[in-house]
Amino acid sequence: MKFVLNIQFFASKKGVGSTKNGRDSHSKRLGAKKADGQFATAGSIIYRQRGTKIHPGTNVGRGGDDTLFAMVDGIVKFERLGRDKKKVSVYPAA
Amino acid sequence: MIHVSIGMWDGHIISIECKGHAGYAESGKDLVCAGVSSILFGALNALDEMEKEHVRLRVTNSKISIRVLEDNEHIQLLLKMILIQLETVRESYQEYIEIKKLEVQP
Repeated sequence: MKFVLNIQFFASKKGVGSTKNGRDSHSKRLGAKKADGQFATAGSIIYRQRGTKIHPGTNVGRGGDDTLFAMVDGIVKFERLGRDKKKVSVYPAA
Repeated sequence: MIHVSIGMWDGHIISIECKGHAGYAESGKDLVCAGVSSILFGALNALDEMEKEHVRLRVTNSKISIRVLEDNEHIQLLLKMILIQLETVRESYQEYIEIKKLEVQP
């Protein structure tokens, strides 16, 4: 036969392959939870992070997931640590 | 939508042209397209086998055209059957296939 049947000759765009993408995890709302100069109570979270973007300074503890939290009531201070790092401290209000 | 143009002259069918996309579903699942394609490719092979000298058959990437070069009763019977088959599809799927009859000069 001369004409080979193309049974989708009048179909619209060709069927596109499926993509293997299309997944994403839920955002973890990382980042600062207290601002510089803000009052923090003991135990309150100051900074959520993965790894130590911000290092713990005076009166600040680091949790198992690297979360930084105040160990005393006081004012939050974000400071430099060495040449290119940062730390956060809590200084008791005078 | 598939657009079918039937060229008529003096009550005879002298051309059939089909183009467009049915749009019933995506390629590979388009049932209307499958029906119309089967009718037309079958017709092309029938005309090629039985009336090769009297018709001109053309298939481009999105259009099929049949043109009568030398008319006879047998060709009219074949073309009339093609038309009725397409009208049968239109009866059930009029949103996906349109058939127009146009008076043309041979």
